[in-house]
Amino acid sequence: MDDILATDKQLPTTIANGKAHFVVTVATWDPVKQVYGSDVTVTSSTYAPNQYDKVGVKVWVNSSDVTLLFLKYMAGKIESETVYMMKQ
Amino acid sequence: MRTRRQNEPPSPSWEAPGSGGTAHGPAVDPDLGDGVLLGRYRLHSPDQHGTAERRRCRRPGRRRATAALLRPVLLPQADQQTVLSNAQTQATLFAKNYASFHRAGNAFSVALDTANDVVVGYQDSSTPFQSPAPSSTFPNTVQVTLRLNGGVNTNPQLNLFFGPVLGISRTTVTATARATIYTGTVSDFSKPLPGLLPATLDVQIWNNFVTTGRGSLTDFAYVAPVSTSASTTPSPEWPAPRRFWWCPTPTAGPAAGTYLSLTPSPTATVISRAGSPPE
Repeated sequence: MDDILATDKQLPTTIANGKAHFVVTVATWDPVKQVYGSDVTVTSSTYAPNQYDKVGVKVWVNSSDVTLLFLKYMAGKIESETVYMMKQ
Repeated sequence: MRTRRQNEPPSPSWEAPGSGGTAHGPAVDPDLGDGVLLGRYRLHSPDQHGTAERRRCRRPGRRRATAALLRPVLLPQADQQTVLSNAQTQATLFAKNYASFHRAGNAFSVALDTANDVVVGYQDSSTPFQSPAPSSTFPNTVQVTLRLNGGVNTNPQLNLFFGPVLGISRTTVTATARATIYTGTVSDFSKPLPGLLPATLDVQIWNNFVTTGRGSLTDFAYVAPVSTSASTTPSPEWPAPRRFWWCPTPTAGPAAGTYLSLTPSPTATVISRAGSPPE
C-alpha cells in the first residue's frame, strides 16, 4: 500500500507515517444460501476470512495532508473506491 | 512428472495388469497431477467385481493378499461435462456478484451480461486464449468482460466531463480480465510437503469409513480391509486407531501396506508397515 501511495502516486501520506488509513471489511459467504452477509470492518487482529469470503479494501487520507494547492486548506478526508476481492 | 491434462486417459499405471491381479506395478500413480485430477475416481480391485482379490486379501499366509491394485473407475457424477458445468455456473455466479459490488461511471452496481460476457476457454504459456478450449484440453480459464456501453444487459455509457467541448458527451468503455487455474509440475516428493500424498481416495469411501468404521459401500464392489491396530502402535499413529488398508507398499515387502488411520479428531494419519493386511 505504501509503495502505491508514495512511489506510484507520489503522495506524502503512507500507512507507515500514519497519514493514510486502511479500511478492511469482510463479508461471510453462506454456501447454502449462496449469498454474502453484510460487510464487517475488521482490524489486523480480527482479520480472519474464510475461503470465498468477500474482502473489501479502501484507503483514505485527510485532505490537509495532501499537499495540493487548494486541498491543503480543505477539511475532511479523501477516500478511495472500495475494491472487493474473494478470499481463496 | 507432469500434470496431466484432464481429458487425457488415466495413466496406464493405474490399470490392473490383468484379471489375475498380480501386483508388480505401482499401486498408486506417482503423478500428482493424476492424483489431483483423479480425485473422484474410486478404488477398485483388479477384477471387475473385486471378489477374487478380496477373497485373497482375507486369507492369511498368502502373499498375494496385498495384490489389490488401485484402478480408476469414473463415477457417473464425476464426468467432465458435469464438472465443467458446475464450475461454469459457480464462476458466473461469483463474477456477477463481484461485478455488482463495484461501481463505475454512472453505474453504482456494475452489471455483467452473463449470457455473453462470461467465456470459458483454455490458455497456457504456449497457447493463446481459445474459446472453446481445444479438443485435447479441459478448460482452465474464465474470461469476463464488463461494459459501459448502454446495452440492455450491461451498463450506461461513461459520461465525459470535457468531452462535450468536442461534441462527445459519453463514450463506451470495456474492461476484460481472465482468471486461469495455475497448476504446477511436481518433480520431487523428497522435500517436506505437509499433507500431500501422491495418491487419491474416493471421498465417499473415506466418509463412510469415518462414519461407520467400515471400508465398504453398498453400491461399491470393493471392500477395503479395516482393523484396529495395537495400543502400542508407535507415533505418529494414534494408539489403537481404527485403520483403513489403503494400498500395498511394494518397497516395504510383499505383505506391507499403507494405512489411513483415524485419530480422535478424526483426521488421517498415514502409516506404512510390514505385515499381513488386517482382516
